[in-house]
Amino acid sequence: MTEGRVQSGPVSASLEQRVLSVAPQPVFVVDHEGRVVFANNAAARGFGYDHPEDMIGLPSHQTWHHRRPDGTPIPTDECRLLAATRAGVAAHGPHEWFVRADGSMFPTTWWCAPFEVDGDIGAVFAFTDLTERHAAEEARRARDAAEIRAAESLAAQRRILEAATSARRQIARDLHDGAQQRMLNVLLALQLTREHVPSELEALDSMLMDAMAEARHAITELRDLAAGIHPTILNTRGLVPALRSLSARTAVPTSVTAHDYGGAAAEIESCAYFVVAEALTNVVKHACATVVEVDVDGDADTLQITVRDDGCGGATPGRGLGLVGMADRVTAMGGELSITSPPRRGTTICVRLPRRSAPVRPSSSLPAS
Amino acid sequence: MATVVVADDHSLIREGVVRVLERGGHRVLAVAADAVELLVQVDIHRPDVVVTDIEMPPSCSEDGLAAAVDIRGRHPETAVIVLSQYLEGDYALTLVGDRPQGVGYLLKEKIADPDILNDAVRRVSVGESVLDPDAVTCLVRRGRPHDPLNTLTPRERDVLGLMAEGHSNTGIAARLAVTVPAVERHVTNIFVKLGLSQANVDQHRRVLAVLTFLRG
Repeated sequence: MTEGRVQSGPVSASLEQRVLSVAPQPVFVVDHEGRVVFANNAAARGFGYDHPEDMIGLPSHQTWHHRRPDGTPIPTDECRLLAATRAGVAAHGPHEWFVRADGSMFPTTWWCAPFEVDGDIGAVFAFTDLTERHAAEEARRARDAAEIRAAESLAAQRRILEAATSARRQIARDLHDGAQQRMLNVLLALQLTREHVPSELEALDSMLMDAMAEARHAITELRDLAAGIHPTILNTRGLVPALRSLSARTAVPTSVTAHDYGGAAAEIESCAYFVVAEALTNVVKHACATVVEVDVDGDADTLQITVRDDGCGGATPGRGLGLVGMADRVTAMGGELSITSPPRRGTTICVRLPRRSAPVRPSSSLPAS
Repeated sequence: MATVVVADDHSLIREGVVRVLERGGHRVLAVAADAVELLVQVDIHRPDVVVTDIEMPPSCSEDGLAAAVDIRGRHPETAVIVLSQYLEGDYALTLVGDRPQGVGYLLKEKIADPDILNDAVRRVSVGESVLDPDAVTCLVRRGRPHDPLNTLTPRERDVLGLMAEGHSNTGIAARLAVTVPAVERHVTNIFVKLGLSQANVDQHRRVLAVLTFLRG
């Protein structure tokens, strides 16, 4: 808006006229009919004219204020500029649109004050083009909206993940307290029944023993199933004992090294556990590895877990649901997962998670834009 | 014959265990349905052996295990067997602490195996340690990288596994159908490979070897 060089008005112009002519604020004056009697350079530029003189005599309403952005006309008797001019009062239009010389429109805010023109009532107007401000606000709104969508999506991911984890925990619990406990009762009842079998009924006793063997198998299978779904030790003793137990159940020799990482929130430990479980499943299925090393470490804010095998490598992130699922879990908890897997040189998966997860905000409490 | 206090929050299981123990010649002095009651009954009766479930009220977490550890501290002469729904070496380690004498860790279904349960009660009552054979199998099967246990021969692993189950050299010899001197040679090799050759008391080294085995 500011001009690079100093402008001066006509030689005969008063100081006030010269000031107005160079001021960056668009100003124009209309007579009682709304016709322009004066415009400064800034006003001419704002409306898209080469010279302020081009505006002189133009009817302000019919030229710059005759329609709304949606194209509907603004009748003369609804024009607030004209009304203020005729009433001889100061007025302000905070949210209006003006039409430029080329027909394009711009958002504006204007002020007017009564002003005597040739002995009759007129008005002086000042306005500001809000195009840039609107664009900046629009960009900020879009950015906020994108941030809110991302935060909502992350929060939704976490809620889904936590609901799934909680469901797994409950299923494992039900298997232990329900089915496994009942099979135990069956086993014990069969044993106590055997005590009443007369010694000559050897065949009956052997049938009872077969039934007991089946019950034992069922108990073992329920125990393994529940441990695979959600090991109880993860709730009661935390991540490292659960990982040691997991390593004992893994077909490839696996070591767990735990540095003093200071613990982490339950949902974070749960996430870390299932990521390692998935990683070990992948190693057993695909890696042809002879050893796996799981390393648990951390600092004040971060829990870091590394799973390193000496297998065939070549694991590609994004290929295969296992790796995608692992990345999803970690991202949902605000962490990062990286995979290094050069062909024939083993695979290293590194997971970094915040030790304390931020509380999941319900979407209604997200800040408004 | 040993005197026993039994704790389990399921009455069917409790009664079943009592029945199995009494038929096995042991005498059950009292039963308890939660960890708090267990501690009270043990204080009153001072049994030779406590047989308790790990998961019990009040919190239904590891209350039975905590009570077992507590009892071992308060009454060193009372042996303790914990029954576990889960195959977790960590629970056994908590119970053992640094004193594996007079402790047992059995999977819960062993209550329906009178020979195993009654034998375990008898053995812990005389200061031996009893680890569920299935737990031992699981521990033996798992290999670990950079583990001194990996340097053991299969036969030495068998011997160590039986040591962990609480068998004496004579018992191990009988089970493996070898001579006692042969077992002793294996035991010495195990001590050397696990770096326990400096310890001077044989029983102490035996305990350390089992702990090495359990802790991995």
